[in-house]
Amino acid sequence: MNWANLWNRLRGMPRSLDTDLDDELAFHAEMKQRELEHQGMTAAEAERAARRSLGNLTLSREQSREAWHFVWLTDLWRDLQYGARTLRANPGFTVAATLALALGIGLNGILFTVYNAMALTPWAIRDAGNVAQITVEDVPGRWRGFSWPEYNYLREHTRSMDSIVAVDGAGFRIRFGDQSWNASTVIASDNFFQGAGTGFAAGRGFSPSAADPLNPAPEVVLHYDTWQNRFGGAPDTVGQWLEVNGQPLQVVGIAAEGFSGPTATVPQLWIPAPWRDKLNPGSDFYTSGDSCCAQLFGHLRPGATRAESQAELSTLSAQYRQSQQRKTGRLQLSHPTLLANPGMKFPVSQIFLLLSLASGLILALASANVANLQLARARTRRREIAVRLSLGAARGRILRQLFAESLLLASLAGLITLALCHTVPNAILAWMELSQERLTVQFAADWRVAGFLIAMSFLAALLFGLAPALSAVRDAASGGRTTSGGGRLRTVFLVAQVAVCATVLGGSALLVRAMQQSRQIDPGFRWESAIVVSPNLTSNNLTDDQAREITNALRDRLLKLPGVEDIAGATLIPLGNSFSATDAAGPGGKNKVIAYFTKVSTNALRVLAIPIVAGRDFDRTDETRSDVVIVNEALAAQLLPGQDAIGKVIEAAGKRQIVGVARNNSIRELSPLPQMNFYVPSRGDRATNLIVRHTGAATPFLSEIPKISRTLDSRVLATAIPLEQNLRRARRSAEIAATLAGALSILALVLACVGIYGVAAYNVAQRTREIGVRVALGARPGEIVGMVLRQNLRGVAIGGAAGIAGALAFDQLLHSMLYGLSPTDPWAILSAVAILAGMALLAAWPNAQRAASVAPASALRHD
Amino acid sequence: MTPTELLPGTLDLLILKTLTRGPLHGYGIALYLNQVSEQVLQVGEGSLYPALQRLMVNGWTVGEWGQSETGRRVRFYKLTPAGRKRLKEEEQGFDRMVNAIQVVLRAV
Repeated sequence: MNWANLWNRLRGMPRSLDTDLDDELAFHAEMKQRELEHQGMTAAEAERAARRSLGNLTLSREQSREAWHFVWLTDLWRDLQYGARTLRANPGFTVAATLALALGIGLNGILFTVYNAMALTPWAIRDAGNVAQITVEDVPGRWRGFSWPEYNYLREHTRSMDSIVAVDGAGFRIRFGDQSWNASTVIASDNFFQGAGTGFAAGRGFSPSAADPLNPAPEVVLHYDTWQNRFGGAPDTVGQWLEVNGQPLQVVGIAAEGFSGPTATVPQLWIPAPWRDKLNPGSDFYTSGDSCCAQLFGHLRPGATRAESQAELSTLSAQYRQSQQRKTGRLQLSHPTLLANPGMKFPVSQIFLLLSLASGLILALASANVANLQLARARTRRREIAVRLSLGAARGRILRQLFAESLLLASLAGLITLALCHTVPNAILAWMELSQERLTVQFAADWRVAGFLIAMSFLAALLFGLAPALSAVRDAASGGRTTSGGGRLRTVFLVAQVAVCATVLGGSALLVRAMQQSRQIDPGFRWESAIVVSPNLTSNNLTDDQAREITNALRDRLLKLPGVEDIAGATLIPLGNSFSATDAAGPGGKNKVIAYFTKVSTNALRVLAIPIVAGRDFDRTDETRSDVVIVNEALAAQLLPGQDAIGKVIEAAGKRQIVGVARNNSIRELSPLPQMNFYVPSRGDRATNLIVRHTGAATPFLSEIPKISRTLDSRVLATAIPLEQNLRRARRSAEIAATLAGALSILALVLACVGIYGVAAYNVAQRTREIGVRVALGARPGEIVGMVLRQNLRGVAIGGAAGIAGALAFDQLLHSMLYGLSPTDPWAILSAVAILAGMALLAAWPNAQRAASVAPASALRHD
Repeated sequence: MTPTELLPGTLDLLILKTLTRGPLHGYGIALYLNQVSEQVLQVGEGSLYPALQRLMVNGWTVGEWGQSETGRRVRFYKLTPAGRKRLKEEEQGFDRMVNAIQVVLRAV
């Protein structure tokens, strides 16, 4: 049936179809009658003959009507209504089944939503269907972008692409008025905005002279959100001058709202590519053929195919590289999505494959559980089905009706899932706060996700609905005398499922405990009432001496603030995600190891309250010495096993004598593993940060310190953050892992409960007659309950035991990965077992109750 | 000559062809077919009305209500452009079939 046809039906279907037809037929009969009278019949004869010639009026009318109606559609509607009534009448079953299915479908759906956003949704740029990303495989398996000179060569010579655009990421220090911040920036070719095809909220894109390598136009374009957040959406922003790494650049445009370009994270602003070198003196990204990783994309010219363009660009790239005596690579065009880039595709697809296998398995598990529930219900509905069959309903009709019910259940779960897909991925992302940078991908339930969910729901309905429906009809048709031999299989299935559930539950309980442990890790330094001040001098092209002068002046100024107790200098910010590492070796170069090191002022260990366990702390006289070092316990034990470390000369950023041993701590990262650290004295350099120990609240200092630093020296764009913030962030990852593990175990638990309930319900339904006989023979309700529970919990016990073994094996694995964990926590496993047993009891209980309330008479009636 | 049963599937074709002369009501169509075929083709009224409904569903005809000679409310069927196209296709299909049948008849 096509759409025009459907339209005709809807348009033409008259409300008064029957009267219209009756009118027509009556007219016809009348005319016929006249005709016959004309031929000489009597009126009565003619009328009879006319009626006869029209034949069966009712049939004719029925057939005429059938042309208009969709019989199957009304049937389906009736089936769905009937299904909805049945589901409403069994709220317990409906809730359990919907929940299990929503979990199974939801997991797959959320995974697909993420995949859809990353791999299927093209970048939000002009005419994305004709856009190709260009990447090159320099070394087998390593896909990269291009150097800027090669990019310029390709762009100049290509005939198959409209214009090739290049972008790369960078971070710059921005200053505007009395604001100053680090901005993630995209450096772009001058044609970027034409290529991306965005409009502007104000102003324009780059001018062609922005590509001039020597004298690029001093232009920046702001992201709409930056304009809103940093400039308050001021209408006169275009035309303002910013300081970018100390250089003045003018805002020439503000990109249209929502435009973020083809990069994975949302940039704050765009800067013409040649500026990258100008803003980082000494670097030669724009001119060096050795530079790398400009991300290229372009629009195919009308008529050019991807294959042609790829061939052309490969030739051009080879030409260029030969002229530069460089190795040629394999060039490839890919679609404009995040994951289409071959460098990303393989590893990420592997992860997705693995995850989708796992979530597919969970959906299968959920479907099997619901199938069990359906089977149990089918046993009790056998009489209803048998009656309907004997009343003449076709088997296909009943099958269809049972299936409509399954479809309804699956659709319900699918609808819930649709809402989940729209909200959960974004919520998880926001909650994880994985990075300060926002991702450009939007996880939304679009038409692809909706289509996927419909397909999944249908598939689930087939999985859990078809087999029970078939067996129900077969069962009823044979009068219920066939015993479906699935009983043993069902028990095996239950045992396996409980085993898996117990493993997941026990494993995640262990994981949660382990994460709690690492949450409670004492970082080993005093993090309260401390502020890290970063002068951010590395980007200013200052010498170490100049930087030291500035930093010392800042330190002296801050020391005068009321409430500041002491200030130390250190190159490493505690838990600040940055570090320096170097080789360290014991006397004679033995026991070599990589260790983290920090250049500190001589009071740093006191300010951070890192205890010295042997020897001494640095003092003022050490400041200029380059031959002393303080190691931590872990490094001492590694370099000088079983010896007294004090006074020994080791290799640690030069030959140095150990003057002290410090307590182990988690300056580098929060982890139960001991980290090897050493500290060397320093007077300060460009990389030095100040650690301010204060009293009272941190907030006034946080706003005061950047202002003070700017009045001191306009080149200082200091940031101040409380040390506590770093610790909170470090603890966050442990929280995330524990919460995800917890969520996973709840999921497993729910599924297992539905499974246990389903099997128990089936068992009771099957034994109704037997139970009735027992009750008639005088069995007390308690005995019946015990009998049913025993039968069902035996499987749970076997599965649970296997699961505990699995959890213990997982525990071994966990310990081998994270040594430093405390020994196996019996409480974690015990609590998992208790929870599982409790839930199993809970799941089997309603069925046991139902069994106990079986009336003896029903045993006689039960067929 | 005794009335002949219609070849299956040809009723639609005949109705469409009849309507090329102008709008007609059901009885008119039956009458016309009967007369033109010199009483050979007897259209069963029992199958005529379902066929008329089918043609309307497919958009090949539209119905318009009017007054009959006797003053009754009666529906006149009118050919649509889609109906003309369909008629052409059916005529060609019918010609092809008749030719094919004749070829077979002569061959044996």
